[in-house]
Amino acid sequence: MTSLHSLTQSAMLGSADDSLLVSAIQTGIAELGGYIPATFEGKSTACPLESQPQMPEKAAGLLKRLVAGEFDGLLPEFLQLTAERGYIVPPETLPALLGLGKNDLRKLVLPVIGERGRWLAAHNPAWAYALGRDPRDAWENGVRVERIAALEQIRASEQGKARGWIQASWEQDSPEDRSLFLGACSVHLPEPGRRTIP
Amino acid sequence: LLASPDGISDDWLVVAQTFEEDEKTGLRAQINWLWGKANTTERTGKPAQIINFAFRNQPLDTGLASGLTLHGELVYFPGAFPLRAVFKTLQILPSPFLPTGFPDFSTFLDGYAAALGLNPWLEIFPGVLEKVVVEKQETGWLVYDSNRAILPLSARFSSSWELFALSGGHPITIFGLWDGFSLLPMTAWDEKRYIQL
Repeated sequence: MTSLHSLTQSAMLGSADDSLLVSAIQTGIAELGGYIPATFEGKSTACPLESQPQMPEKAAGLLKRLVAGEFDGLLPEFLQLTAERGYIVPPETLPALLGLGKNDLRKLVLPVIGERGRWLAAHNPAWAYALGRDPRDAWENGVRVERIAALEQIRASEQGKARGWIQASWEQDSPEDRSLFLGACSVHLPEPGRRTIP
Repeated sequence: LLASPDGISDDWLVVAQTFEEDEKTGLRAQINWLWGKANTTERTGKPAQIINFAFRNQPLDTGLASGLTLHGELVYFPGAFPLRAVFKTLQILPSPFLPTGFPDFSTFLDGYAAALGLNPWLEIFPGVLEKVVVEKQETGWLVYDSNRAILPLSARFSSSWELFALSGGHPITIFGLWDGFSLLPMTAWDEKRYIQL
């Protein structure tokens, strides 16, 4: 049987063959029906089993609404209570939770993500903070999102150190990086210090 | 149609529900995908599609919701590959069941080829797929089955990370629509928990 590709080419050349469209349809359908899947050559790393129980279904339903932005401001308390009871969140809420993990929330998100959360974070550089990597290492060797995450983390605890880091690599960083790093310094900004950053 | 004697009595799970709106005509459609519990000759559950319509602000039928389990007699609209159907009788069951799906992609694709043979205009082919692992590659997201055969995920699918998190490198059961090129997942099961994507 002719391939769709060769039919396209004869159509491009301007064929006078009336049956062109018919054969194109036939071939198209045959190609759809004859789909042969490729073989997966890679290697998947399976997530280790959880040691903590998943939160009850009702709580999970509420969590999804909180993550979606409903009842703004209740999420930190909810995460805290989840951690106190030793529960972890259902897997489908992890991308949203890890994604919103900004500063204060990060501390609360980390205890409730379980093995699955750490496994998932290893697949996305923006969530690297959940892996417990040393911030210094992330800052010096990481990609841009990892560096920003490390900077925000250190800025929250030791402001002066973050400033030192930025100054040390200022000359080598691109203008985009610099502006993002300065943006990261808005974390934990003391009121009187506003004029003197970074 | 309702007078036809050939209804199929079974337990049905509403595996997905989507909405469409035609801006020009103001017609809104609620599309329910159902999966039967009883095994067919191919040893999988039977798919069915129930579409409810409403005009502009009229309320849509609320009798069906995703995740709902029903028992009832279903009548298919006549067709070469019957998919769309209506309920003759129906009652709601309290507990959901885990649907029996295609054990691997080759049986799923065989099913698709057979359906396409019956109805060449078939745009989408629904299927519950068992034991699939979700994986991320530079070219995009994909699922692979127990034989490591790959189906690419649709570029329109927006919950890839959620599905990836649910799988966690382990095989899970999903429901999706195949268009001949890529799979659009709509539902996943985590153990027995039903998750709408």
